[in-house]
Amino acid sequence: MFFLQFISKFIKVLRAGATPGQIAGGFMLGFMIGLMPFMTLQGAVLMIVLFFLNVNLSAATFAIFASSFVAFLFDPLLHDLGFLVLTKPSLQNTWTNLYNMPVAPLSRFNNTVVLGSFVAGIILALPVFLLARKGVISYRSGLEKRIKKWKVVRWITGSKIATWYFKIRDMGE
Amino acid sequence: MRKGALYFLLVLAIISAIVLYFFRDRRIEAYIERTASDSNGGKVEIDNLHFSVFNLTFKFDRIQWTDPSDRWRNLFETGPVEFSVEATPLFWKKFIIREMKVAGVMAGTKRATDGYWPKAPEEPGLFDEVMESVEKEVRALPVFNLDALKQKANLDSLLNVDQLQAALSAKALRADIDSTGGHWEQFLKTYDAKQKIADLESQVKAISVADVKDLNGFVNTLQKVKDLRASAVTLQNEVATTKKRAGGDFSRLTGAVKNLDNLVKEDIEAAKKKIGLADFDFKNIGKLLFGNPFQDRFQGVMKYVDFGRRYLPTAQKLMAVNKVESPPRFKGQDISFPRTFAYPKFLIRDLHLSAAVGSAVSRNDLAEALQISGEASGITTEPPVYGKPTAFDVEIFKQNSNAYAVRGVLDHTGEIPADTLRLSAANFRMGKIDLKQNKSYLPSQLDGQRGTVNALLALRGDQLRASIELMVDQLNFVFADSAASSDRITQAIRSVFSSVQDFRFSATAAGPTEDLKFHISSNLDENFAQRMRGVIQENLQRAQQELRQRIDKEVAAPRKEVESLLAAKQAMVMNEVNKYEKAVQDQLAVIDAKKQEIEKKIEAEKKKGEQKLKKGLEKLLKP
Repeated sequence: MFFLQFISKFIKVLRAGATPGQIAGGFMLGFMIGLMPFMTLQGAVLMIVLFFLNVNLSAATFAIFASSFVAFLFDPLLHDLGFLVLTKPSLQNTWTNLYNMPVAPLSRFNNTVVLGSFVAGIILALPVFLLARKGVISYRSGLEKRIKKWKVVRWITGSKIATWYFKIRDMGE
Repeated sequence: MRKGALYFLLVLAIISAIVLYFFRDRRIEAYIERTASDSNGGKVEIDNLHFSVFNLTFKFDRIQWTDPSDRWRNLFETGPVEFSVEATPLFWKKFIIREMKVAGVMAGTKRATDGYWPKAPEEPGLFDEVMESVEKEVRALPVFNLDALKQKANLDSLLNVDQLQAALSAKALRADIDSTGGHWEQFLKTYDAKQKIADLESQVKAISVADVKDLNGFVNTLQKVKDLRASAVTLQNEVATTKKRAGGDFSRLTGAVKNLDNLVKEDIEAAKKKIGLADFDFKNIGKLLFGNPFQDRFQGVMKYVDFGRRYLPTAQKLMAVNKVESPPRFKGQDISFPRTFAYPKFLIRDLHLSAAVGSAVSRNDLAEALQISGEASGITTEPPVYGKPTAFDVEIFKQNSNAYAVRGVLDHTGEIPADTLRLSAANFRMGKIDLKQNKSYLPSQLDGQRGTVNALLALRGDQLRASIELMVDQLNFVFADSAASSDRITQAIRSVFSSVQDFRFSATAAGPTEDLKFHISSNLDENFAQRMRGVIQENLQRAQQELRQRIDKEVAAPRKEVESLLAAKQAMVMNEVNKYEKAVQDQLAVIDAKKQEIEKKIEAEKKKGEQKLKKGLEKLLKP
């Protein structure tokens, strides 16, 4: 039930409440956290940042789940990216110094998937932020009405799933 | 900026710390069990782990380490274990144990529960390589079958006559002769040389020198004869080539028939080996008797050396960055970088050990177990980082009995690993050694009293040298069938064993791990050489002679058939070709005769002309 409530809350946030920037910021941080394997030092740091910054937590939670799925799908690519970065000759001094510093090894940066997903998260952070913000603005300025007119949406709204959806939405109000 | 987040995180951190503190033992225990089980490929279980946060000390009552090859048996289990961890290396994610005390280690204990754990596929390691090489050597041990000497052997039941190489080769040769002979028969049927010879003959006959009257006629006829001769020489060469080819084919077949003798010899040698009638060198008796037990003990030691090679990687292995193409999802691959600090991932600086080893050992029955007590240092997953070799010095003993000293150094700090193990014991009680023999005339067990043993195993890279020297007094060979045998040979062999009182044995295995060479010798060898030569040699020669005759008989008939078939085909083909050769030579002789005749005629015509010219000139110049 928690998950349904959470989806309902996220949709409500899209419609009104937090600013598009707050939602996009939460989405971006959640995306970066979800992309990385669970239990890493940098993941914990990002979590703390998420709590401290005035960004939307529902959007962040949604993004964590969504990007975890993306990370699962693209795991081989993230491994390749991490291997490429970790074995790049020009970066060997950097990695060696980091490897020999205290605490840094706890980040597991020398793991291909951990670093690959971290690098991918950093590279995609800005595009994800901009796209999310644009998406929220568009949704609020009329996209919602247009989406509701789509045949597929009308078919869905007439189904049992939609009935469930409305129940969920009403629970939050 | 959310100010409330600070309080939220603080509360969360405090709650987490409290939960972790109260459940730390179970969590750490589960983590170690899971990690060790993954690495072992068999379940690893820890009882009652307790971790003290304040002085970083671990204690547990027992650890059971399942033997991956037998899930109902532990490779070893311990009694109480206690160790403390250094704090600073933890910031580098390194686990350094300052001092570890392990008591009551026992090997080979039975498990009360199933120790199954999914095992990752392993690549063949040093152990597999060495044992394959050792097994190859043991397989090459002399197989000596006295049963074949004791009674008149039914050779047909021991020999598979259908599989004799000489007989099979004779069959194949027959088909080859048929095919080659058939080819030449067909060739000669359609061979156009016959027609060419006939044409040549008619053309030669057509030239009638007597019918030519003038010089021009002679010159033209000579040219014709020359042309015919050139054609005849071409034909002669063609026939010669055909003869050479046919001769080559039949020479090959004749060689193959002669080679049947060699195949017969090979068949005899192979049959002698298979039946167990190989020429017996009495110096091999030590190898024959002790090869299998030596292999067993060698295998036991190599298992532990292989364990060391797998878990104590050299710098080369440690820094290898070969990409793992498809690691499990979310697992990735850890890449290593050069260290500037001296903390390996895992290290036990000093280990104090007391253990008991034996088959089906139980804690309440230590009298029969081998007990181990000693110290080890520098046990680490990353020897090149630690920079010091793993060393151990232990004493192995039985209660009120033998004591062995075992020292070892596993130096994997450089590029090439170097392992050395030494074992020595003086005045130990040997007990019984199973010789794994099932022949009634060979002993099944060795039962010795007191002895001395020195053993060394040195492995540097893939070069291995192992040696063992054993000296035992008051030795007794035990036969599986204790009843006295009526057979003369068995009696003689048993009497040799019975007369041996002091036993001196030495064995070495040396060379690259994939191609080890064994040398085993003992004072039994000379005893046998002196006393058994006369008894066995006579019977052995008789049996070998019988075998030779049997194989000769088996091959004689097909061989004769092949020889006569070859002679018939060869004679037919070569006679035909020789006929052509002779016919061409005859025509060439006729052509040469005609050529000579025409040349003489031309010469005569020339002289006649000259004289006519001379007479004409004289008439003209007369005054």
